[in-house]
Amino acid sequence: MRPIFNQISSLVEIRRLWLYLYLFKATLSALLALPFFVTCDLALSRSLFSKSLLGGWDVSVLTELYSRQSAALSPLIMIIIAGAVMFVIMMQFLNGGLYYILVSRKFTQAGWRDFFSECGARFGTHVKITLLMMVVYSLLIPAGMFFVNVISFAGGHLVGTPALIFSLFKLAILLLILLAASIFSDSVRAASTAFPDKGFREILKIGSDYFKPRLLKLLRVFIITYIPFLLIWLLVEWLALQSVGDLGGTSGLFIEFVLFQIAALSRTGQKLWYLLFLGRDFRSVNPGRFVPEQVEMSLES
Amino acid sequence: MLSKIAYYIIVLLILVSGDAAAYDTLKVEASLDTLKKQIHGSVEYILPAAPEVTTFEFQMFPSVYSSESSPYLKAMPGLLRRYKETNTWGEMIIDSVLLDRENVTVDVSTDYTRGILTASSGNLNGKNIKIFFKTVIPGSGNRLVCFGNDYTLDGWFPVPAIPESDGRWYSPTYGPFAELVGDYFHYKISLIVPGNLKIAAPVPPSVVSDRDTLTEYDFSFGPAHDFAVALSPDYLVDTFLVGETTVRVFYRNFEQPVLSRIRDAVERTFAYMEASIGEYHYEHFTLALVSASHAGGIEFPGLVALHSPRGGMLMTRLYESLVTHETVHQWFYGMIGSDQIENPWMDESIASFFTLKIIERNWGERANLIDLAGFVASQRDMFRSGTRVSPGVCQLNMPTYAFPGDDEYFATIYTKGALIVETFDNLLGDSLSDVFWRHYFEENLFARPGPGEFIGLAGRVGGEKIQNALNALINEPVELDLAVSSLENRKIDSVTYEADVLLWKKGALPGSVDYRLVLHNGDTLEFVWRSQHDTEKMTFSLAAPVSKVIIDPNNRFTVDANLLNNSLSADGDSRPALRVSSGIMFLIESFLSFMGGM
Repeated sequence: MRPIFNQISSLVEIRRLWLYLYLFKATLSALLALPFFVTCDLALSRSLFSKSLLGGWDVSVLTELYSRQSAALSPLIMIIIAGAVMFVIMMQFLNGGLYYILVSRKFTQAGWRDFFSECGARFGTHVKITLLMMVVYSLLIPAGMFFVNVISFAGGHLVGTPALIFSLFKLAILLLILLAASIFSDSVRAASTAFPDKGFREILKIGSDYFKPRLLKLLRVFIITYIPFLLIWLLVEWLALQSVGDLGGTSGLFIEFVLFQIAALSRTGQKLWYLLFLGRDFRSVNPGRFVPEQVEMSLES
Repeated sequence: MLSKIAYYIIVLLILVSGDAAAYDTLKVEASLDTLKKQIHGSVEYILPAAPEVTTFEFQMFPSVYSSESSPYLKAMPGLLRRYKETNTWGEMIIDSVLLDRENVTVDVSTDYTRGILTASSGNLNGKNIKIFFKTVIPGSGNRLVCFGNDYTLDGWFPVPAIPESDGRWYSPTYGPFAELVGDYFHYKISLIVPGNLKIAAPVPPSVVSDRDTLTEYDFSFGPAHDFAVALSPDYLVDTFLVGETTVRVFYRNFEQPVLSRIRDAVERTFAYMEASIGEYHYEHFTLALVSASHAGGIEFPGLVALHSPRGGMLMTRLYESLVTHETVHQWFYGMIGSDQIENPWMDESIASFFTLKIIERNWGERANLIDLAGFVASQRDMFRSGTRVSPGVCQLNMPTYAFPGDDEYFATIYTKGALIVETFDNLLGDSLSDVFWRHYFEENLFARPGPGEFIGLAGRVGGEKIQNALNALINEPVELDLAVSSLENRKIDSVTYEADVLLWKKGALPGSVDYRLVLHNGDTLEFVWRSQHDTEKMTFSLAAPVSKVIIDPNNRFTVDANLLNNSLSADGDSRPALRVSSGIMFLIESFLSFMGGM
């Protein structure tokens, strides 16, 4: 546990990187949400029926909104998907610099020039890893679903709360399968940073060799780093509902917006926290180009 | 002397009246073979004395599961695929037919679900018909089902078609979405089943014999237009009283957690329906939890088959809604019959409307379906969003086979239909609504009224305007949308303002609609729009500018397609849209984090 929590001080050291990554995500999200705002505002701004939204998530308003704007929904979703694809591509560019900082642990020494030169140099490799992972996910998701469906027979006779718990259990299994794949991708990305001169197959092998014996440990680390984010997210949801319900109006909406952004910021922090541990652990096993400088010892007689 | 005569007259009236005398008896003797998944038996029926009939027709529902060309299976591609893959088709085979003990099987022809006996000479009135049949239970199904050791049996024996006044028989064609259509009978059923099976039926049986591994059950039930049973070796029974009705819930041990919810929903539904519509006329009501059922639940007279609830249903009141809907069917389907193929709205839309009323009465208007972590949704929300599922607009009064597809059928009959019936009910008003539904129940108890009777009664109770409105609501595609499309204020002098209000409607408006002006000084003015045109501009000279205009402020036209445009405020307010966008932005951020890892 201690090595995991020790990374919090490193997270504070890279707070500017954390902030910029969050701002990048938030800006893109705001741009993608803009067409939604325009569409919704046209329907809601002068209607008295929409005012209940200022006091809570009134599904009847959302139902009417969907009824009126259902034709606009498909293009809006397409815009979000296009935005997500753009985000993924841009993240492959940023991953080069990001993994360089996290594996090398040059938190303060590396400047923006180093960061972006690594971004450019590793872009192709990260795109290849992403394409490979797309294939892996497209195989894992149906396989995971099949596995979950098979174990569904065991709970076929459950009703009531046990049925609900069993559904959550099945969901957890599916998420763990996907999480394992995600950890594999992180391992390969760390390998590509530590061994920039190696070919793609060799990088995959190094990443895989690192990943296999440490899967359970890394799953545990991810879950431990995820729990604080989950608590923050639940707290944010509760506080947001309270603020809108109790305060209402503009102030309630503003507080809710700020709380949502705190949750989004903490999610970026969670991933960085986990990667800080993974980077450090990877480097301790496979230092690659980040071998500690040799100290010349003068042996005097 | 006079009092004696009066006494005898009363006794005589009691003896000759009553259900047993008013409805024909259908006698069924059958046995279930669980090894072959078949039912063998006979049905005995005495043909009515009038009208004069020279033919006899009967229905063989299981033949809907008999082949790839079945019109019924067209709407169920999943079921059709399963039959093809496993070759477990169902069917009904007529072994022989006796007419007054004479074998007339050669005179019987069959076509899909229709069996026809043509008399070689003379009429058939008053003659005894006995049909020997074999029913093959399909591998899977919706109404006739074998699932492991459990069975749901509906339409499992041949039933007479419906005699018409001109001597012909009405034999419905079982196409997509069709439900069983039959006349009211008094059923005398004798069913032999393996002794390990427990039987859920509309009434408790009397056990005739318990021989070796078989048990013979006798049932006497009616008047009813169908007799279905559910069987399982694992059934336990929970019994309770609602008023004078004994309610029995057949469940498996693992289904125990839902019993209290079923009981609660049944009690609330009975309380509402008996107070508002009329008394439940059977002594028993049975609910059976089954492993495979169609759309969560199926109604039969005196019996409801319910699917075991799973996770999602438990966090909501969807299960209460389902139990309420199926229980309401005991009134609108069970006690008041209808042709569920030609006029499916007369049971489904009305049952959905009363479900909405009962749910809102008992659990409030806003959070009656979902109330989870600040996220609330209602039955009405579900109905209103359900109406949007359908790409086309169909009229309500349409036969099942005329709907182009599932979406149109379910959106029109189950969700929009409920809102159309509610609009009609709102137009009647509270006092007339009460009168209408009570009369409808009393006049049509154990009968099969058509839309004509429904509309006619609406005219008698509510007058010509209501009748015309109802006619338009059910016989035309309803695309009603009422809107306030513009509001402009002008200052004329220091004490006078002029306001232009533009009202707009799409679709036929049955009758007039109220609208309300709210002035800046807080005054409220009420008006009625008797629309002659789709758009109408009204100009008002007022002491203060208008701040808000609301059309249909009491939401009488609940079938209105869009409630957002029913009001217009003079000042815009972007905060609702900002809130929606803030939530969507957070969702996008979460999505991007999932996709991009940050």
